[in-house]
Amino acid sequence: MNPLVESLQKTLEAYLPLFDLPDEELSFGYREGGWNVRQILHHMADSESVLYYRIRRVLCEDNQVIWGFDQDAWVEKMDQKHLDLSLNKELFHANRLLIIDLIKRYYSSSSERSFVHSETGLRTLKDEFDKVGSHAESHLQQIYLALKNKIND
Amino acid sequence: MTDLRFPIGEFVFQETASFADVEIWISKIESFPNRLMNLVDGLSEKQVNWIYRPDGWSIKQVVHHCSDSHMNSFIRFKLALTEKDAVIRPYFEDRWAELSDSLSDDLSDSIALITALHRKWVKFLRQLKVDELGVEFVHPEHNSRVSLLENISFYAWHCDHHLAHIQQALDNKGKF
Repeated sequence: MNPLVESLQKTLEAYLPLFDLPDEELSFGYREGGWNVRQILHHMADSESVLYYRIRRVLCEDNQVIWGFDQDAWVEKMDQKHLDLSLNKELFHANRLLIIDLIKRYYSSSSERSFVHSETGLRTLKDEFDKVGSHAESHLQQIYLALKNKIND
Repeated sequence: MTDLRFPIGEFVFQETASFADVEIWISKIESFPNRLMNLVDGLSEKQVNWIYRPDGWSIKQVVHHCSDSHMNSFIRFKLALTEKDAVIRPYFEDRWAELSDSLSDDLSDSIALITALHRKWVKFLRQLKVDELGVEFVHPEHNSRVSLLENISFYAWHCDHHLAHIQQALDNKGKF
C-alpha cells in the first residue's frame, strides 16, 4: 500500500475521537499564544477541504497559480464562533475519505504535475499530496502536546 | 418544449428579496442532501449511468459535481468574508467531472461529503448578519461582482436544478 494512504488512514483514526474531547481539554493550548485543540481541529476541517480542492484543480489545469487563504481568520473569526465541532468532525471525515481515494487514483500517475503556490513558489502535485500527510501529522503532535502541557490562555 | 438543459429554467436573481426569501433559499440548501438521497438511494449501477440529456452528464456525474461545486461555493463564502474584494477562482467543472473519481459508480463518499458540508454550510449561512449578506466577491470571467445574498439564491437554484436533472434522467430511463 502507498505509505501516504496508510499514514492518512492512521491519522484519521487518531483525529476522530479528539473532536469528542470534553470542553476543558479542547481549550488547552500547546504553547502561549498558539491555537488551542478546538482551533486546531476546526483548522483541520478547513485546510483539508482546501487541499482537496487544490489538488483537483491542479489535476485539471496546467500551470495553476494557487492562492493561500487567511487560516487564522477562517478559524478565529468564523468556525470557532458559531460552529459546533461535531459538524467539522463529520466534514473532516468525509473529506479525508475523498482525499484517500484521490491519492489511490492519482498519486503515482500525476505526481510530477507542477503548479505555483502564491506563498511557497513552484511545487509539484506530489509535494501537495505529501503535505496532506505531514500537515496532519504536525498538528496531531501539537494536540498531543497541548493535552500534556495544558496551557490555558 | 422544455429545454432539457434547464428543466426548472435558468437562474434569475430577484433583487427585491426579503428575509423570508432568504430563509426559503437556505431551507432548499438544507434539504438538498435528503432530497438527493430520496432520488438516488438504491439505484443500480446501470441507473447511475443514465444521462439526463443527449451529451449530458450521467446521474453519478451530477452527484459528484454537486459535491465539487458546493464545496467550492462554501470556500468562496469564506474567502469573501476574510479578504477584501476577494477575487474567486473559476474552475473547469467539465474537466473535474471527468476525473476518475467523478466517474465512480459508488456515490457514497460524495453523498457523505454533501451531507456533512450542507449541515455546516447552512449553520454558517443562518448566522450571517445583514451587512455580511451584502459583501461581494469578484468573478474574474465577466468581472462581475456577486453578493453573498445573490450567491445563496444561486445555490438554492443550483440544488433544485441538478435534482431536476436526476429526475429527468430517471423519468427517461437512459433513453438519450
